[in-house]
Amino acid sequence: MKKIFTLITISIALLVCGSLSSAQDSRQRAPETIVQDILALVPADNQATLETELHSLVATAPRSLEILTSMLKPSDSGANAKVEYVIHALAQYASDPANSYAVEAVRKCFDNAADNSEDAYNKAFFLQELRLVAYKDAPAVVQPATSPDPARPAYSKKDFLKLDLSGQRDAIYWIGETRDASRFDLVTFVLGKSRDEGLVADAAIAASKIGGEKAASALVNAVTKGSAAPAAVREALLSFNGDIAPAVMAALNKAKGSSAASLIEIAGLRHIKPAFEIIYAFTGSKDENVAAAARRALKGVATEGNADTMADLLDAGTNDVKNYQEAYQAALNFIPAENRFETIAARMKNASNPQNFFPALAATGADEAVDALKGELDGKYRKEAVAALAVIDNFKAAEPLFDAASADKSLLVRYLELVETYQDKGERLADYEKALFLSGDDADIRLDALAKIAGLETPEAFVRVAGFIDDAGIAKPVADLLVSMAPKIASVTDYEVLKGVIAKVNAVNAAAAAKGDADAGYAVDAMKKLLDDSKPYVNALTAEEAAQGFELLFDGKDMSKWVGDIEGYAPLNGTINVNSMFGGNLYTLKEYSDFVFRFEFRFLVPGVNNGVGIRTPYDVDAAYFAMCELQILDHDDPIYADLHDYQVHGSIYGVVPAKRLVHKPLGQWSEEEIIVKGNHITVTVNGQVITDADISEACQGHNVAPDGGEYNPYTVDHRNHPGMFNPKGHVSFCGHGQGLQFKNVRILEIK
Amino acid sequence: MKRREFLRKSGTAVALCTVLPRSVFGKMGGDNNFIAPSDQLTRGIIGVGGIGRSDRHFASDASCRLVSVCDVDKEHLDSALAAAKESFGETLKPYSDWRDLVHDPCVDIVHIATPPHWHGLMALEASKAGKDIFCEKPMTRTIGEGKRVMEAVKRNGNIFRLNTWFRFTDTFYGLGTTVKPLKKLVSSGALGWPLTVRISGATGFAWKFFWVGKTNLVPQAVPSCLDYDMWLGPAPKKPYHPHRVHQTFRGYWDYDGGGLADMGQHYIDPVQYILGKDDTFPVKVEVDSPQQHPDAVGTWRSITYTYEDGCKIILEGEGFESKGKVPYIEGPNGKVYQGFECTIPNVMELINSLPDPPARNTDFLECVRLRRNFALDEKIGYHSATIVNMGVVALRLGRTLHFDPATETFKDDAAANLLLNQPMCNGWSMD
Repeated sequence: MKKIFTLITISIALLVCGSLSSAQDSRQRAPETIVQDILALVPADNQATLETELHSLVATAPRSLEILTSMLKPSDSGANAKVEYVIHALAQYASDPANSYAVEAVRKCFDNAADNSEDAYNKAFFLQELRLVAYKDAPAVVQPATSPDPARPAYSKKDFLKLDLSGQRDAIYWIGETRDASRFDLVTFVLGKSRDEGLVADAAIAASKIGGEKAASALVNAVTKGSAAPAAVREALLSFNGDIAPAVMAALNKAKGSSAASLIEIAGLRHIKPAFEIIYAFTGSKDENVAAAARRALKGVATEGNADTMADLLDAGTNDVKNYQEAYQAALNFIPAENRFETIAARMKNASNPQNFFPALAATGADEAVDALKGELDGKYRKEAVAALAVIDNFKAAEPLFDAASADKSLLVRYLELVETYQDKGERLADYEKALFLSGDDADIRLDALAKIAGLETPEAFVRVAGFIDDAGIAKPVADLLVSMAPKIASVTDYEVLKGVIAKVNAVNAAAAAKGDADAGYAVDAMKKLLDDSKPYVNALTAEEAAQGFELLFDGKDMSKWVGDIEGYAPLNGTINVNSMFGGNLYTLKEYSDFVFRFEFRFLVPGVNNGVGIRTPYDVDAAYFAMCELQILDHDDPIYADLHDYQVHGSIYGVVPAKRLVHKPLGQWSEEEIIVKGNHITVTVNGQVITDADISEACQGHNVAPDGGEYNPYTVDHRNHPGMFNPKGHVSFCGHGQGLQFKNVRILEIK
Repeated sequence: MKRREFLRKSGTAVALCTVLPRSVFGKMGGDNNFIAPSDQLTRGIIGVGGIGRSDRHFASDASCRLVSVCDVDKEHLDSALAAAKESFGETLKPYSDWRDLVHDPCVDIVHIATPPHWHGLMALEASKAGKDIFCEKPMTRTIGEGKRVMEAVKRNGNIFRLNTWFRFTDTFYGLGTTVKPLKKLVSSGALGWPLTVRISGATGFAWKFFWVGKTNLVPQAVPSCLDYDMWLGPAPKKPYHPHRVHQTFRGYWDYDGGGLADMGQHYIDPVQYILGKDDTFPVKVEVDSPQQHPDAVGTWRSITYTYEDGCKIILEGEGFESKGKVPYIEGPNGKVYQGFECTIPNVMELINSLPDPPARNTDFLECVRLRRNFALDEKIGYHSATIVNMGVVALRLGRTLHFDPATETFKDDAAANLLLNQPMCNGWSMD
């Protein structure tokens, strides 16, 4: 009956529209179907995915749009979200300049819908959306009442001099602001002649913005000859837009006294490398200010060729060793990293002041450097060696630093940073705990250690950190750590544990909020919401499923209908939580032949890999020795870039590729249904059929190679699948690795 | 260009500003019955349900007395009156219509702490009344409202403070320091140019995606303590639901724009300062997000702003952060990570050798007394609020937009330009 009615409606629509093409789209869908199809897609994860559907909607206007707008229910029904999403998407689409063809149709539709709306709020909604596409009639854009005057000052120098100081500053400011190089003479003039600090500063900024050779020379001149605003001139050169090296080099060759010191400093900070020789010569200056500036600047200009010179100075044990150490390291940075340790070690042999080379050793970050520095710990230069180990960027320094930390707890800070670079989370936790133990009554270090533990982002770490929330003095920072951890571990932490910790955290934050810490107030809200969202799931059959005879295989807690790796598939908050620590397969207790298997799954981390074994015996590789394995795979993760098509989610592994689906974002649940009937397998995810095949037909009946060999030309993976025609077996989840949860696992045997 | 405006641009304002007595400015504005209360300043707060009740703001002392409060929720108002009596012994004058507070001659400074859909109207009215203004972030809900506030404040000579502060004080979230060393490093050119800033969970900034709205709301009865019509004010009339008001209002486009609009100016204003972009705007904004609902604010994956010179500000939504070691700021010659870890060797020494950025006026009360511009004034506030609002418009339209900093309008997109100025409802207007 219903079918006939739809047909009549379509025929009427065809008559009204008068042409077939406007009533159906290229896929021959009726307007009703087009509207239903787009409603099923919203809210889309990406607007672009709706483009085709929106085009179809507009192409079948006005009928499709009338159907759509008439679906808006009374505003107080609380049931309009999907229609609102589509209508707004339509407004977005038609208001995009690229889709101007759609404006007329959408405008007319919204206009009519607003007119015909009896519900005031719905009417307002249509008018609001209409506004986006009715821009010809909408009020004009408000222009600024006062706009800044961009006119250039057309002053000659004579006119410029007639201006008062304020006018002159305006003029110079605008020359800089408009990058007006043609008025640069005024800038040079001011830089060279003016005695007013503000005006000269404006000119320096203008010169720096305009850039170019002339500007660089003018600023360098202002350094050598002195100016009313030396700080501004210096800053202008440091942030100069362009190359100042030629101007600075030319001036350095002639410079003396304080201007030499300034130029040397600028050359160093701007890394003007050709200035090395002249700056090095200045380190011998009798003017101590100049000599000191030169020593400080060396690190900015030293390169590979200067390393030996710097090493000589280091070994000579000159005063101001620190500058030379830095210059030496800067020079070493120009040789390949792998050669640095050898170069330094060669210089250190027979050196009279080997300790001066320790910082350079540390800067290499090399394993050999750690060993070398460890070797020095029992020698004359222990102090210097510890200091170098505390800066070396190599996790192997952690152990000697920890040993040294019993005498100096501040070393734990660096120790913790190094531990953080370990690959293995378990090792990290163990070594963080060591620091926690050694921290004693130093609250800062204890917090530092706790922050690192929090960074592990595991339920264990969460509980460990929470243990410190009652410690006087650090309750708030511990609460902050827990707030930032909680969203990352909530889905894999027992709800009751989470609840207990959050209660304590919220007590701390509520107290802080009462004292005016607004962020703490936000945090309380966030944690309440998180807890709300983390409530244990209820696993239940629908009434329809119960009537059909489905059996719930997991009630949220009880695993008695399963065997196998019960530890690796443990109940958590109403889900079966797959945990990497164990790995392995989980089997239904019973065996099944034909059945409908339904479950929900979600990925919590990228790259999850698992599968469903069909008609499988215990403890075999289901892909080959079961009827088949149906892939569960986060196939869009970059680690699977080279995937075969028979490996994507839902594929009958090695036999039939599935239609590649787009997974929901991490953390969101998907529905999967597997129907096994004889040799036929159907896999449906979120309502989309991705596999629908007869496994026997797929390999033309040859589950194993006809010649008895290992190469099977009939399967897509060219392997034998001896279990393919098992008459019955268990259903299994197979694979390992964490970050996957199942719920509402249920099965219906087909007799 | 006015001298004062010019000086602000060149950053040397302090020494040259004219000092005028409070009463002169008080009378310039419009309310003729103003009487200067010697040196003591007075303040009234509009909105005492959220930030307006925090200890930092709900306070009173000899330098600035809190004299009145306004709220459309009677429970908020009563609780504020009681709290004032208890914590600082002040009997506050209660108002339920903010216009009465703005025109109260006893109030020098109007503190706007309402949801953002009111900020523009209230700031404009306060400016016309000759009041000085302390406005919570985000400055305004639309770009057009921000522009009107900026122009009014300039015209009427009020002192305006937009209340976010990381450009001049406090540890800036993931950076681990104040922004000053970074500002110096950037200005020195040592990182090179152009720069890319990433505001992301991976660099220490949370976008608070729990501030999303709900769809399919079923209307509920308005509580008797709340004047809902006055709460809505210029916003479109929509049936009451508790999720629309008080704290959770952030999830609705009519009043705010989720974490982006609410935290955006907090996070972006300091970036505008670091990059030296207080005088300009990005020229492009790109969004990557799920489809947005017309009423309820949703989440997004990324929002990317690009300036004409190639500098970028990239916002990364919660759950869509870049992986691995992510720099907060990155230029051709160097990167700075969370906790100010930097790829430039000896960076702290370099920074210490660099000049400090120009000093700014960061004491708002002193600015009010001496008639000086505050360090985060209406112009700077308008600029950083506009960055946020550009993102909001792009998100609501779901497409890349181009912006013309000269005309302060979007290029070739009529619908986007319509969202620069959104009509006010229920008889309210800023024109």
